[in-house]
Amino acid sequence: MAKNEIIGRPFARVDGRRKACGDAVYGPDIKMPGMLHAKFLASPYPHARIVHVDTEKAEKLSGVKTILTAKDVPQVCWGLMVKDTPVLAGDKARFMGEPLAVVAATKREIAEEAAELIQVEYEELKPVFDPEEALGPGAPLIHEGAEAYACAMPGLIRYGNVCGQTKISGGDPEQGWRESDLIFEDRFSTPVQHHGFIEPHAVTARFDSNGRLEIWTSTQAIFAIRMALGEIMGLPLNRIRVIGTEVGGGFGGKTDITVEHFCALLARMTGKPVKMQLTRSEMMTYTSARHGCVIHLKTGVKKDGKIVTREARLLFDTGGYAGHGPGVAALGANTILGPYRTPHFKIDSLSVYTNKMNFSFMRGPGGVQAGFACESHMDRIARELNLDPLDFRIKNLISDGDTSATGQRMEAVGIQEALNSVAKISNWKQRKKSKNRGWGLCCCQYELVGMTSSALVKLSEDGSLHLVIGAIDHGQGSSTVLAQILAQEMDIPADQIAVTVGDTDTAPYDTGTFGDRVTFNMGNAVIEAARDLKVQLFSGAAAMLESPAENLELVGQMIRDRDNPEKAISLLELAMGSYFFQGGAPMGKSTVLAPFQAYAYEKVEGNPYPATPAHTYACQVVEVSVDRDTGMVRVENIYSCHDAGRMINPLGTEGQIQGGIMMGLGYALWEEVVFDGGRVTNPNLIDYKMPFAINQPKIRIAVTETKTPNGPYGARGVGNPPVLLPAAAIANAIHDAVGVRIRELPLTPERVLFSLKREAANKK
Amino acid sequence: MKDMRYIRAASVTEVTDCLKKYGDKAKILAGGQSLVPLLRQRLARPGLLIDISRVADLKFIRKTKNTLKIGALTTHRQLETDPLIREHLPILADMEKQLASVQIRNLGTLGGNLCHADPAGDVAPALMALGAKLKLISATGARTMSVENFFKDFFETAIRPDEVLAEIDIPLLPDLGHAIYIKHSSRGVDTAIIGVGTFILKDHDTDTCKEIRLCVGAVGPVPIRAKNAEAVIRGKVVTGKTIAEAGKKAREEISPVSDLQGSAEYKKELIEVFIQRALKAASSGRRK
Amino acid sequence: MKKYKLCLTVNGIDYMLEVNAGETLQDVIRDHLNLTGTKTGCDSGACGACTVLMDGMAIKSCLVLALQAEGRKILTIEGLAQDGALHPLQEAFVENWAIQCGYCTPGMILTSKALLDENPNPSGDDIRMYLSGNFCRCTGYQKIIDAVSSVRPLQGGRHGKK
Repeated sequence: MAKNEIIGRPFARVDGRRKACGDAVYGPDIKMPGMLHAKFLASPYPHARIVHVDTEKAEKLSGVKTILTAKDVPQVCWGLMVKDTPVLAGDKARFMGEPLAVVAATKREIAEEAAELIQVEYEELKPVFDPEEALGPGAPLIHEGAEAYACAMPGLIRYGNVCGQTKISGGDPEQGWRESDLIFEDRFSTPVQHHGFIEPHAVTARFDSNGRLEIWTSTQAIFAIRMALGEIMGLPLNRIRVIGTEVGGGFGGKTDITVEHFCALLARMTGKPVKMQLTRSEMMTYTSARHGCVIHLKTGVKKDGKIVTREARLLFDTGGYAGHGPGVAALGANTILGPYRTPHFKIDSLSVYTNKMNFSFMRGPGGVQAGFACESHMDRIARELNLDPLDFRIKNLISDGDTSATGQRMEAVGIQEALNSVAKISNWKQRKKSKNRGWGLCCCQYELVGMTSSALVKLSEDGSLHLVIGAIDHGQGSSTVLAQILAQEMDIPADQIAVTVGDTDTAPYDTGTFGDRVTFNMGNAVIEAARDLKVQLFSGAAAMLESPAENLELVGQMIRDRDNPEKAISLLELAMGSYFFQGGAPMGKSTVLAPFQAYAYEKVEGNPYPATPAHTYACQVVEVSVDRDTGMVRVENIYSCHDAGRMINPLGTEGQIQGGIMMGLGYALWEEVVFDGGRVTNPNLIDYKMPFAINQPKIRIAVTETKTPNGPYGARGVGNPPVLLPAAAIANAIHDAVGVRIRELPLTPERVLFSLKREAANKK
Repeated sequence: MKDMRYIRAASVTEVTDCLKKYGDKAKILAGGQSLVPLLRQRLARPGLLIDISRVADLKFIRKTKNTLKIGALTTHRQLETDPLIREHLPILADMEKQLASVQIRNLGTLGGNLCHADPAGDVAPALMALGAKLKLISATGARTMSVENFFKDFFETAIRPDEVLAEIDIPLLPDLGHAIYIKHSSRGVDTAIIGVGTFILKDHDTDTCKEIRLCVGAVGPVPIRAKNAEAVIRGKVVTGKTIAEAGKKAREEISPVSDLQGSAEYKKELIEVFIQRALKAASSGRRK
Repeated sequence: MKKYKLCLTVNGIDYMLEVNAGETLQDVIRDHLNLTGTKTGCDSGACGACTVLMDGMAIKSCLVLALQAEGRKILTIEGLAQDGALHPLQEAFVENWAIQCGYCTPGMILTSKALLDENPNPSGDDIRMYLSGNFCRCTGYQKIIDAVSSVRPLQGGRHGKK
């Protein structure tokens, strides 16, 4: 009998109806009797010594329950990689918007008013905003005594304003320069991008009388939040329960603590539930965003277009605290060679402190910046060698058996097929060139995260299946995909499976929802848990059917003897039997730590992410038209091909690709958190410009399936690469259209127009 | 905490009486689309809100012999969809389509938009081009003022604390008159980087330009007329050459101010381009 | 703080409430009536997540003071399904994967309803234009446009105008 094949089928979202009906509960929707509202006071200076904080006036305001300043909170420094972050700024503020005090009051407006009444005496310090300047001699030191900070990641390279540095080398770069016929050098710079999820950060915390902390938060990683809270609150982890609400968009911006600790501390102090919901302006001045980055690239090639050598230096502006900066710098380093064979190279990637908010993970971290630089640089080289950008790339593409920048052996390399496919759907070779219109091409090789996932599959008394996991579905559709995987393994219709994303008390551990890891790694965990359950069921059924367990199979909710199909028992009967007579409640469980891959240990320094369980691949072709008078760029067509390894759900795959492309389009054309002397000048969704529906170009998508050996059924993540592609593809298309190479994002009409004018002036 | 009080006015008289009594402590609430966020962010903290949105006398679109009279409470959406407007002043319907979002157009009012006096507003340059007049009413009487004289500075108008904007009078387009509004914004539904309202009237026999108004928004504290550029065109046949010259003049006479949408340098470039585009479109009779 | 009486109808139910002058319709819907299906995103009229229908018109409930809604009929996402049957737009959003994180979904669906009530046969560009006051950061809009397009011609007359 054919298996009930559900992998690769368009299956509707398991959470669709509750989201369409408005009963899904998100962070801001949590409400508790007697709940207090919290607000923080933000530093108005980017770099200032805090001389004195006076809360007396604020405390007198009716309705104010408590105010905490640095001296009232645990004197611990926390951090994901470098433990450099105080709970509240005490000695000094390192960015404009950094919290110095938190207020809990009976009403939000009262808390706001109270925060305004706190009087602080500051002594301004010389700030530094530019990562290049922050490295220079005499630059103000943002963290004095940084060497004393503990590190959560071993082997980080830190000094001065550098909080992380990845160095990678391969071959013999000096020899590479000697062998090169031509050398190209470019400098690129990229802006700060706001995650732009619509749901604001919102957290509610309460302590029960046993001193147990319960906290509701819109997060991508309940266990990571619990661990950080344990450290800050000084509580054992089994006394903290983190309950993930529905997440109204994450994109990497809800992987870490934002205000959870404030709510927990205020709840402990007041004995009341405390809720804090950030305003958009607070989100854009205090929480994380995508790192701005400066990238220098120098590449030596042969006349025939073979890449010989590359030198790359990447400076990631990580803001006042390290956050994930050292990891983002590493991912930038890992991505900067692209999917191209580069015999000799030297990569230096730094995460640098400046007086801005702490930048951290955002969809495709490091890769988005490096991808823009690498693929713009590649395009320039192709043009100057008079090679078609496609041919130039094909000439240098890596394939199975090559090594990555860090020396990891590559397998299931999907780039070749993806590139062929995008060339085909875009009709690249026959593309028509007309006035002020142009075509751009871009490739992407990125990596996904493995780490630990665990799953629990429960067979209920009636034979129905329940999957319990701790991996949040922040919209990408993982719960649906995992239901499909379990359905496939148990040969049961997917709509009969219930998926519960539990909290840290009820769900088995998962590292978190980021880095394209949930389908990939939790998918494996679900397969393992299903197989574990089947072993138990077969063993129970073997006794009842008097057949050897190894002869049994599960088909159509029946367990039967392969050789003797009339010997069969239904899941329902078996479940009933187990619950009441023999064996007890059947539960399949698993935990999967993704395999570590070997890499060139001796050539890689300071890199927290030296290898990946699977690389991800995608390519894109873009057609643009440019208005030479105004600099306005119109993206006419996008053709995008993505390697899914094995597509579990085409609707979900397309959704990830379409959404990622639009986020990448925003990054390419408009999006920039603008700083003026440390102050964000556009901390709202009117002046920070994300794409609307009318900005959507025609997008055609193709999906290839180069099965990766480590993924479930060969699947790999598809969430990150779509964001990496549009910036370089559009910049390359602009060059094709009007002959200017723009090395700075976003490609606003203003920037395009002045580039055109400069180009015209240079020609004169 | 400061208490804010609220009055829902039923008639113009009630509004003006209230204004007389409370003066600048009061703030008029029409559609609320600009005011509510200001209240929310505590950027405006009036002692009293006078909600005029139920004043029926301020909601109308009427055609007289020579003008369209529009009540100040007419919403953007009504301007966009009203058959009288579409027939007689399609420039306004077209302008409205590019203004904010449908939700905001549903409630935002013409009067509210003008009194908010956002320097990048789309309505003002379009109305200026049309030569619209505003009727302001106070307890002591009414006065009329041209839109051109209404704006004083960033978010500041000539309206007195005791006055309410009641009506906008727009002359109907003469037979050979054309008016258009064109706008440049990064995403198409954005705040303008520049907006140009243009009115041009040509002589039937000579095809020379009899009347012209070129009104530029989003380049400074208030929308302004490019008078030197107008002078280039007035009395002449509009040709590629005069259009180019007008563009240059406009660029010389206007010193734009940088804002979040674009730098002064960029706006300078756009002034020339958009004056030219506006003239081209208006003189070819395309009612864009 | 002075309280004002407010009468309005939400999802067919008449309410009489007391509010402050500064409270918005969004506050009333979410905090007084606990109808948290109306989402809060930016509190400044930029994102569209708090869109509800007021007398059939799509409006952003964070841009309307509660007292402005006196006597109005409000429809929120909770009022759209009838007798347990989803509205065709809700069905279409679910079927087309027009939902990812779901936070923009109630606003998107209600704005789409206003569009279809005005224009039962919108083109793709009509839909794009009409929905361009609502951000979606997840889907890239295509599947939302597909979903709205699939509801033509408007089915389920019984849902009619509220």
